[in-house]
Amino acid sequence: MKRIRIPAMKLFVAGSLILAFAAAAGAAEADAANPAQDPMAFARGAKAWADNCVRCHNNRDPRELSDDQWRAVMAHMRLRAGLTGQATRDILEFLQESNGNTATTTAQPVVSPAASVAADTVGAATPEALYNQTCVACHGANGKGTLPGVTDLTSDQGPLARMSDKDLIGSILNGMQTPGSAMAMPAKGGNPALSDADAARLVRYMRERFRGE
Amino acid sequence: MRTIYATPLVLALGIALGTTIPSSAAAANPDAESGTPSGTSAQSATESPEIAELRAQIAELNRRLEQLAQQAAAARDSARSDGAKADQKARIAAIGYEAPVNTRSTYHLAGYGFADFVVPQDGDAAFSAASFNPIFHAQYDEKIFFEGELEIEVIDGGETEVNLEYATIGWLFNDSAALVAGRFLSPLGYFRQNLHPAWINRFASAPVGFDHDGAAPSADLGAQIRGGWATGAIGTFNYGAYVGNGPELEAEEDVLEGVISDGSARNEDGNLVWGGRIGWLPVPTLEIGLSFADGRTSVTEVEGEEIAGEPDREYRFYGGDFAWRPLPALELRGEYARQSAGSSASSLAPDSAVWRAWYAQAAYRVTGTPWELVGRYGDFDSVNEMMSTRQWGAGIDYWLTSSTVIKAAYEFNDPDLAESEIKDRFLLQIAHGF
Repeated sequence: MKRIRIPAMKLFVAGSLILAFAAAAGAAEADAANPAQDPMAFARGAKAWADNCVRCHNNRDPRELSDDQWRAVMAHMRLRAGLTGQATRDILEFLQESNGNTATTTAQPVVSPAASVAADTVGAATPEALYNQTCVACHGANGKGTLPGVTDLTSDQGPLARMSDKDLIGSILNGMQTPGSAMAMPAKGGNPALSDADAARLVRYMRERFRGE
Repeated sequence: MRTIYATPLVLALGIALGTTIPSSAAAANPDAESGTPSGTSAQSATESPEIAELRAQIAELNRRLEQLAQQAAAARDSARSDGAKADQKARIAAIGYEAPVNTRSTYHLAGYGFADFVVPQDGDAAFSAASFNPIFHAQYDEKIFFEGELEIEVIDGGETEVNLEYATIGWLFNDSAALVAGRFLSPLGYFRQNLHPAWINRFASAPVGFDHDGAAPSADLGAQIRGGWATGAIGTFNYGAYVGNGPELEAEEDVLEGVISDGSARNEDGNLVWGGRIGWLPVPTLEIGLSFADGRTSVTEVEGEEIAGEPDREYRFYGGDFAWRPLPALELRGEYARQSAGSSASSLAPDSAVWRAWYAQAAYRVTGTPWELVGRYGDFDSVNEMMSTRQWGAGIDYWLTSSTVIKAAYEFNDPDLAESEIKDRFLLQIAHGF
């Protein structure tokens, strides 16, 4: 084995110094933003999930994995996709909050205790704020969808044109699987704080915004 | 749930009614029931009996209201706890088992598998490949992450070949950087490190020049720093910078034939190769990447036989890639890769060599259906002209799930040499990622 030449050694030393500096800087910012204490982590995570996963592959259904499994997968994805630590934590928050039980057929409204309890905290938000927090990552600001397979809310063939308020509320609260879509919409759009009243307000808001009704 | 809130309402109504009916006991001895300190008795003595009675009622009301508030808080806490438990039960029901939580270590098995069926233009149809690629993840806290992938595949003759695709230990030391050491997929370019798994690649085969032994390096053994940062104003960046043993060269007679870049555990030429890629996303739907590597390498294999003592020579890689989603259902991407080895007069294969490839691909997901249409054009120029070809490809995919796909494709190949073994072919592939 020949001796390693100087340029490479210089590079390695320089890299080590950069690493040491970065490690020192990193220690100060460690755990700076804990999603559990950050009410916007879920919304940021939904957007980051919609923006980043599709760079390489289809968005995976949050229900495919448990909280712990998503934790390991997101560490893998952070390295593979060059995500920031903050984006990784936000996406993990979104996935862990979105992998609960979801019906796969047209569902009837089912009110969970958690939804009713949460109503006093989320119910104060405007429907527009609710949409921008919970729905916009996948359905987009124009309602046409940001991901392949997401239904077009503006279309005459879309759910707003074809479904009753009752069914729409049920689909929002319990999740739904659109035929032909690779993934299901999670229950409550993945937002566990969304109440049945919020779902009803969202339906009215989306009908007005995207269908002019 | 509603009964929980009904209880305080009933109690409040009872209190309201109670306050309208003066209690005889309270009227007889208001201080005793209200718990008012005896010092107020003197004050009461100067007040009319009606005022004293009202004071007693107010004190009683305050006491009962405090009790109500405590009961309501307890009911709310209980409901929240019940709700959380219900959500957890629903989650367990959806997943099928109760996953361990709140442990410092997490283990997870991911991976993918695929099977191919190929019909060559001038040959026999065959089930040509089956592969199982398990990927093991082990995370300790949020800072340490190990991952390793095996590639287990059937080869000619029915034997099974096992290769270590990668095995790395990552130290995620801050939000923008992680140190990764071990054998890793080459950070150069995009296809090899991110798109080559069959369940991710939209086409049923790799672009020409981007498979093993092409123009894009596959893996290296060394250390790298990877990460990303968000600027806000001009988008986000991701990067990977590495130092590794670098590739080795193989020769056929006195001509360089190929680059071996599977991540060798030796460094015959005594020189490390360094390089990396930086990716820029000005908007989330567009990514532009540039790659570069530099170092020295040497011939370690001649006509399939390992040799030692070859002189070192220059090695360099340039690359560029892009991915753009102008519509949610439409994905356009392309990549260019060029790696070269310099000349070395004292080598068995003295001449320099260049391997160059590029491809462009469009994939369109038919809205509201599981169908996806794919078209691709690629060009590979190799010093080994038997490998050089241009290739058109058209395919159609049917997505069974978000990570399970059946692909059908046809490749139209136009090799540089008529005697090349690269022919047109039809491919069927099923792939699943998990």
